[in-house]
Amino acid sequence: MAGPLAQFQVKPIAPISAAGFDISFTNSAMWMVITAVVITIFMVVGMRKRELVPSPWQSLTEASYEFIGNMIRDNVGDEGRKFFPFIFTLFMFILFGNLLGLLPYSFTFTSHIIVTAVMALVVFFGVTIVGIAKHGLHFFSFFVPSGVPAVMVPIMIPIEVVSYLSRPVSLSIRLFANMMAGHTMMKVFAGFVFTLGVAGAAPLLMDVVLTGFEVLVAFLQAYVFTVLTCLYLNDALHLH
Amino acid sequence: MGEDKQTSSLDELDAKIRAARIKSQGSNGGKGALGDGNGGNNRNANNQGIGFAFRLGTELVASLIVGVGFGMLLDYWLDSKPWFLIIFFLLGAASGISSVYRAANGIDITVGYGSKNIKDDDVEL
Repeated sequence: MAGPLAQFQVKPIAPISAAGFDISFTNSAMWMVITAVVITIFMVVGMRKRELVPSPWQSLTEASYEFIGNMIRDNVGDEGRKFFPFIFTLFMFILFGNLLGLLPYSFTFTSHIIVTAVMALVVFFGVTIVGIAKHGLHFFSFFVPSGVPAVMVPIMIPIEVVSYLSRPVSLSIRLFANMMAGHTMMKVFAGFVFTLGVAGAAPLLMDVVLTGFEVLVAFLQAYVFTVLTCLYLNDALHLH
Repeated sequence: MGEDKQTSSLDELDAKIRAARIKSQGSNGGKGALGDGNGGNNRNANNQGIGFAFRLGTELVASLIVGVGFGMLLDYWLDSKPWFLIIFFLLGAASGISSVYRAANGIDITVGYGSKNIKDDDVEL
């Protein structure tokens, strides 16, 4: 039987190499494509009829739109509107990646730190560029907390810089660790189902509970990632 | 279906929606349905507790990783083992603790400022 970590293995489907780099189309890449396709179908088919009284599917697409719209309005304000497409894409990609990863035989690309780290770094650099573009050099006043005595400033600035640089790290670790821990735990319990014989009903029941919990985590982590993106954007737009 | 009938039924629907909205706002203590922290916070305080605890943990670890990583990198470049590692370990630990302190206080976790604009507990996940 495959070990609990075998599910995270990236396998090449179509081996490609260019200029000495291995850029094979892997199962991870395939599931990212599937996620993008599923989201497109979900949005396009859901909005096709544009009924005044929405069908359940159309309600779902409208609810996801309003959810992100409200999140941006509450956390960033009006200036955040132009970032809606980016934040909405980010949320849907993570959410559908998490949820599709729960299907049997699928692959959870959000359980790989390289994937989450790239998303977190895009957010990090994007937000920093937005901040500098809006405030110029004044942006760096960001690293001096208000109300700090002059003596403390040389100590506080490095601390704040480290704290700022730790944002993408904590953002990526949180998503990846949650997804990987949950999937590993499910597989460990599933492994006990066969070896324990009749008593295997107990871990089986546990797996059912864990599946429900994982659905919750899938939503929660997609939400946390996007809310923190909104907060970082808010900081960059409105320096205090 | 005639045009007249349709518009009148739409008006009715509109009135119903408005009434329902007022009602739901009343029971929420005047708060909007989404995003206005307190209502949501009570509803799933338990789930948020787990998420919040996890967030504090990652905040601490992430700051330490950045601090130690930066220190080791500087040591490697400047060949000054282990001084930058020691300094940046301490800075990382300090920034991790200050991040956790800020997050736990409901002050935004970010770099050095006062309380955030929106007093929204939704954020504390």
